[in-house]
Amino acid sequence: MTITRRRRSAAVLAGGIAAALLVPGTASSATSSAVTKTVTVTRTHLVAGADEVVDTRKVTLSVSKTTNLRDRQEIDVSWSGAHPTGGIVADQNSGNANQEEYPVVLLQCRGIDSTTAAAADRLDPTKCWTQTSGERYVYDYNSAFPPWRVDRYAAAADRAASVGAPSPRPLTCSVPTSEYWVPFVAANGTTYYGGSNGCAGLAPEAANAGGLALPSNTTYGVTGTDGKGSAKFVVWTAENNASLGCSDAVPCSLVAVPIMGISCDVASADLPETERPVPGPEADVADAKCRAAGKFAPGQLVLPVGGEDLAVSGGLWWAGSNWRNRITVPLNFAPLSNICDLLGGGSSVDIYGSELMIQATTQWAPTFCLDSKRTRIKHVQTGEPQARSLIEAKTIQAGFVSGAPDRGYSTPVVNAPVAVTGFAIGYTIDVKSGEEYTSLKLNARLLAKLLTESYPALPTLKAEYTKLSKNPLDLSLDPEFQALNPGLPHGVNASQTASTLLSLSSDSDVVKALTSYINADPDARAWLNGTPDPWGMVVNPNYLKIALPVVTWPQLDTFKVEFAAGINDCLRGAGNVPYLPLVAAPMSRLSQITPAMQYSLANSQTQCFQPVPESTEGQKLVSLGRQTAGFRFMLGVVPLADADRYQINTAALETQKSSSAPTKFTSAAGRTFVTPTDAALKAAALLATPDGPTGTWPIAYAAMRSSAKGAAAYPGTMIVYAAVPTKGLSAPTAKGLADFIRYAATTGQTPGDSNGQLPAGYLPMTAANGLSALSAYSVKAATAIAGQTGIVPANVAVVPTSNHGGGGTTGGGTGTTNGSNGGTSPSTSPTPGASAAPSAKPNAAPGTSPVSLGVTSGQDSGPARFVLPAMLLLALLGALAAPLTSVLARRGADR
Amino acid sequence: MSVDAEVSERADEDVTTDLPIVINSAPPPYDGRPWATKLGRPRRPRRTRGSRPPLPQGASVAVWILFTCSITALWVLLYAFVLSGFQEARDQHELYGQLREELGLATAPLGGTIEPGSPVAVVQLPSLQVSDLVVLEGTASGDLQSGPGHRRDTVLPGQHGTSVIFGRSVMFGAPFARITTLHPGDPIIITTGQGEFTYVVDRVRHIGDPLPSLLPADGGRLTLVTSEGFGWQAGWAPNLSVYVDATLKGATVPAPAGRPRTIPAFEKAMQGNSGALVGLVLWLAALVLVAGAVVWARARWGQWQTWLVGVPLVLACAWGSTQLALQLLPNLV
Repeated sequence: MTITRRRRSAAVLAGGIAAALLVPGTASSATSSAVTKTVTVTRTHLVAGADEVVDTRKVTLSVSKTTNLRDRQEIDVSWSGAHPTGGIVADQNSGNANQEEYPVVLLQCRGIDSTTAAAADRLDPTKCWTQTSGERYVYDYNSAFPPWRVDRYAAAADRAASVGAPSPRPLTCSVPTSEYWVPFVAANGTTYYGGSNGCAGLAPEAANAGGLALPSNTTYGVTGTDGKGSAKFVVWTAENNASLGCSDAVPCSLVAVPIMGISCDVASADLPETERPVPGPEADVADAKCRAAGKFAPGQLVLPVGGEDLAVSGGLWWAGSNWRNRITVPLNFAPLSNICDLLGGGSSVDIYGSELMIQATTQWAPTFCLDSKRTRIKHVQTGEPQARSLIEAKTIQAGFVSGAPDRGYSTPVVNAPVAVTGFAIGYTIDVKSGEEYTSLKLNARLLAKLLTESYPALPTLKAEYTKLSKNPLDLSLDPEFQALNPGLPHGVNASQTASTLLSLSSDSDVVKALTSYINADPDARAWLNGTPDPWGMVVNPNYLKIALPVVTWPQLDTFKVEFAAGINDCLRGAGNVPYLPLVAAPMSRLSQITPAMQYSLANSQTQCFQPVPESTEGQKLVSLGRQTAGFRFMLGVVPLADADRYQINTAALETQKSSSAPTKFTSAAGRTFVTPTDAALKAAALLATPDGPTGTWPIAYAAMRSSAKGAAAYPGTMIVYAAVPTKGLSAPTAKGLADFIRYAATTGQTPGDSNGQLPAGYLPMTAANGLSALSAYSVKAATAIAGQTGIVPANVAVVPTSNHGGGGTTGGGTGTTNGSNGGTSPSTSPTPGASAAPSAKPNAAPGTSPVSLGVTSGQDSGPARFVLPAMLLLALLGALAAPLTSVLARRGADR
Repeated sequence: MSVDAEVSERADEDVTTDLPIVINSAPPPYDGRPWATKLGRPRRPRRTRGSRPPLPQGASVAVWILFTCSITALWVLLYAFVLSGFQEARDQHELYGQLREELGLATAPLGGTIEPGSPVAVVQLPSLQVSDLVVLEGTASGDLQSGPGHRRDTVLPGQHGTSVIFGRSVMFGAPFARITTLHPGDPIIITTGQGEFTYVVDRVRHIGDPLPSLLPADGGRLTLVTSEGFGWQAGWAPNLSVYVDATLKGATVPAPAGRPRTIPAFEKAMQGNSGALVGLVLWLAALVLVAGAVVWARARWGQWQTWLVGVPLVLACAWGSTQLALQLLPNLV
């Protein structure tokens, strides 16, 4: 993640020197998809036929990535030289952000910015997306000549009293004195006029963003007093916004409009007399409004004053004076991820499982569905344990998993490695100055504290819940966290999301990996077992001595806090439920956590929503919703590749600490923290030694803490396998899966963001990375899958027994010695107890144990001793007693 | 059994009502003579009735219950010691054919998860003149009725680690009855899909004996497990498990991944399989139905015809029931 960022910014710098003036399509960088462009923007009034230059600036815009973009991907946009912004709103993506003064308006527009392109393909404001109608409709009930009507660079037709109104005009749309409509023309040709509150109709995707809905991508970017600013711009394809309709076939652009203010021409000499203000008071008022230079000082917040100067606000981004200053960056999209769904016909094979694979399968899938000779592959996202049980039940043909089931499969199943990736602790934390924090360090104990609901989160709860009352209110107030992350605010508004780690509620190998990491850390384990941390924080008693690892993280806290009336009516009386699980509010899918982290949508379900104000009728608990920029504090578990795709910050995790590191520490000194870089993934993957019985390469959490090489290994590393039965599949399915696995393990490991390549966030399984054993095993596995003879290839030359050390293991049986494993195997001496397969099972026949030296205890069976002799006894007794009874009975009858 | 007996007694009284039916079904040349035989037979009971008084109702029931129990127990013993051997021999014949084909086609299982009941290896014990003993996968009581079974959570013979094979010592052919007489140094030759391996017996290990030494880094061991009894139990009521350890001569071969790491309790040594109760109930129900049908047919159809059809049916049901019932007994017996 950090590596990728560094790479990108370096590319930006390298290509950033070249400049292009107002010429669309002259990208400066040939090798990287980063683009830098410079324009000179001016505000020049026309006074009595002469130019009156108010302001001239040279704006340089850089975009981090412009090719092979995918839906919802974030690109970094930064600029310099722009007019400082005033009247700032909290959310630069919201519809009311257009009241900012001198913003840099970023829009995604359909079309090519060229005067030579066909009119239908040409870019104009009607093809730019805004989420709300207020951003493309301005009106004035009082003035006949608001600034846009005296804009010298606007076409004559655009300076009329009413421009762009629908005909016939809907009755609900009232008629102001002057108005300007910027209708939205959808990709299919439909025109949505919008209007006041959308009275004339909105595109289906348009709405007032808020709550858990994804925010708009239209950004009113804030420029600092130094003229610089940046924003993360989310690009949309037709998958998320069909009306805008961008795709690999429909060209789209990022349009940045640095607002300089309207260049006024109050005299309007070119216009008919009825279309210009009458000289005198009317013209003076119009002139003053148009020449306004801003009501707010740079950096000033719009609230509580309000009432911006329209002439310099973002609301007039489409006006001629502003639109002519635009910088257009063409965007190139990768084929849509639903391209395979849109193609009809053809046979397909579903692979269920790991959400860590979403980004990879999205890029791999078109390779298969666009080739008629190949079987198309569909990734159905589920938890890994569910995929394993479905394979066991023979319901599905293949699954992406990160481990074998505890008791093995009842059919032969091969685990072919397809990706080395992992999970990340994603976060969005704003420092005091309002910027994003980017160097978060976490250790296993802090993760344990977040997961075990040990932060009280609410002052009320802290006061009433005596078992947690000595604990810090939230993470930001924990001395341990403060020691590792200096410079962060102590005490935050978002204390609820600062008390938890947004995690999974469902079964997942990611939870198992996360809890394995926590469990392997002696400090975290001791803390979970009841030892207070050096600052006196204790574990939530409901989680005391919890056995780890687990595949599902349980919500165990039971403390209910009784709120006073009016504070949180949903949690009063019969409706009251334990509070801390509501704060944790885990989600069922990683693919839900990713957007929540991308847009900092707090999921804690602690807000009481009352549809009828002041009434408990129909009330329900809802999530806290989007956090305010500048005051964000949120952590969550995300797939590594998602973090890379959507630019989510990832935390560095502690691997080791030196023996001299103090227990009660005040800084991170003496502790090693590792970010999920390619090198760190590689170190972790090389530590994983093959395990013969399961045919997998388990992540060596213990070695990560102890061995020298473990210090640099990222603890969230996970290997994803395609688990496929090697018996019982139909021939076409087996062939298709074998083809896919062969591809995924070889060609598909080429890094890149084009179709068929491996996206960032995955470590290529190549010889250069020392992982050829993994890909070689997958190729053998593919052959076994194609054969369907029940053979599962060995991933070790001999059955490895941990008591014989890992030194002799060779990778994949291909002759490639996994040399880097040699020095890192935990032990090279026979260790009684750590045993080979036969003695590992409980209640094994002792005679089979090759290691535990003792005495044969054997089995003594009662039934074996008595049943057959008892049968013989019964036979004899019956045979004797029957005649005897008969004789006796007759004698009795005779008498 | 009991049914037949009951029928034959009731026949003494019901001769006259049965008569027309017997005539109709009798062959024509026999036509004139039945009277003599049919009349002659009823007279005998009348004579004996004169000398011996009829059994009281209660005593009669008691006698029949005892008689039935005795017959059933005898049948079980007959099956356990004699008939089950036929069954095992037949299964071995089938398994041998199957394994021979798989070895020929190189599709014999090499490891991973193997379907229980499928053949995995052939064992030769030259010193005991045992040859072509087919080992199948699985050590549940039912699996071992077809021959020696390979414990599913251990490696296959020839692979690195300890391979464990269970076998019965009393019933179902008793394939491992004599393995306790193996001597150190005796060869055990075993053939799997990965080739032929020779193990050399280390010793016979009874309960209380020290466990074998640690397995070398690349070594292979074979442990044969069966049951034994001492004193009066010897040979027919063994209650103790016994082990024969043998070490592989030569190098091990690679083991494919995916072996189960745990097995259910009923696949461990000296365990019965209570899961067989379900099938047993169904077989017993079938037995009762067939018995009822035989009685009905005897009254409506005729004695010899009923014998002809009924005996195989009753035997089959008894056979099936007994086979399942014996699965409840420990698997090594």
